[in-house]
Amino acid sequence: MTEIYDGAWLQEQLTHSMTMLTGAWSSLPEERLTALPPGRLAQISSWPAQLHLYHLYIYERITVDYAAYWSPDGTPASEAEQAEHIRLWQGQEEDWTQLSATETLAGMTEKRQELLSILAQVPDWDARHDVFWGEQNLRWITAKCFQHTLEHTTTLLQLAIFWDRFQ
Amino acid sequence: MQNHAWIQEQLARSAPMLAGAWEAIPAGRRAQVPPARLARVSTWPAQRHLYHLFIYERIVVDTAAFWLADGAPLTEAEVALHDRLLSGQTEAWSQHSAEETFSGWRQLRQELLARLERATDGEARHPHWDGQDLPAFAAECWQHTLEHTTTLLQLALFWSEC
Repeated sequence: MTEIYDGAWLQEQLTHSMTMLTGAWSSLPEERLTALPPGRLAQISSWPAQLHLYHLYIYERITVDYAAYWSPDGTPASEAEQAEHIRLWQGQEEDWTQLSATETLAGMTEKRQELLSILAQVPDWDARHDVFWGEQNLRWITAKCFQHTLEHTTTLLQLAIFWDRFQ
Repeated sequence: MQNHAWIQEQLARSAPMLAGAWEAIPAGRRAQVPPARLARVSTWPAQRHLYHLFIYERIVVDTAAFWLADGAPLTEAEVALHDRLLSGQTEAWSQHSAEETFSGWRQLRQELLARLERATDGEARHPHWDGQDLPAFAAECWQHTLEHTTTLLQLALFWSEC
C-alpha cells in the first residue's frame, strides 16, 4: 500500500492541507473574495474565491456525513441526508453568497476538524460502502478529500499570486 | 501572502505530498498517456509532470541564488539554458528514467530549501522573475508544486475508475 492510502499519512496531509488552504485564503484581499477573476485569470477560475471556499465547505460536509459510516457505531447516511447532499451540491452556485466569508471559512474549519476526529477512531479503513462516490473504502474517500483540498487551494493561490500580474 | 518562514514551511510540506502522489501511481502507468476519460485532468503522462517539476525546480534553484549573500541575477548562459530546458521538455522527459527524474527533483527541492534558509535580503526584487521579492517567488514555487501534485493525485485516484 502506498502512502496516499495510509490512514496516518492521510490524516497528516489533511491537517497540512487545511493550513495551506487557510493561508491561501488569507492571502486574498477582502474586496477580491467575491469578485470574478479578471483578464487571463478567468481561464484559471471562472468562480470568485469565495465560491471555491463554499464548494470546499459543502464537499467537506458531505465527506463528514459519509465518513461517519466508518465510525465504530457508524450508520449509513440517511435518505434525508442524501437528499440534502444533492440539494447542497446542486445549489452551490446560487447559495454561496448566503454565508459570509468568515462563516464559510469557520464552517470549513469545523468540518475538517470533525473529519479528522472521525478518522482518528476508525477501526476498519478497508470496509467498502456505497457512498456519494459509488462503492468505496475510506482510504479512497480520504485521499480524494485531500486531493480536492489541494486542487482548490492551488486555484486560490493562483488568484492571490497572479491577480495583479494577469490583469 | 504570509511571511517567508511560513511559506518555506509549506514548500517543505508540499514535497512529501508530491512524493506520495507520485508513488501512488503504479509504475506501469507512469509513462502512459492517461485514458481518454481523464483527458480533462491531464493529457500528459505522469512522468511528464514530474519532469516538468524537475526542470522548474532547476530553474528556481538557480534563480534563488539571487537572494544569497553573494548572489547575482541569472547569467545570460543560465537564461539560455533555462529556455532550452523549458522548450525541450516535450522530447526530453522520456530520455530519463522515472527514478532519475524523481531523485533529481528531490535533490533540487532540498537545495531550494537550503537556499531559501540562507537568503539574506528577501525584499530585493528579482530582475528575471517578474520583479518579485523572495516571499512571492517562494509562494509561486509552492503553488506550482501543489498544481501538479493534485493532477498526479487525480491520475492515481481516477485511472482505475475510467
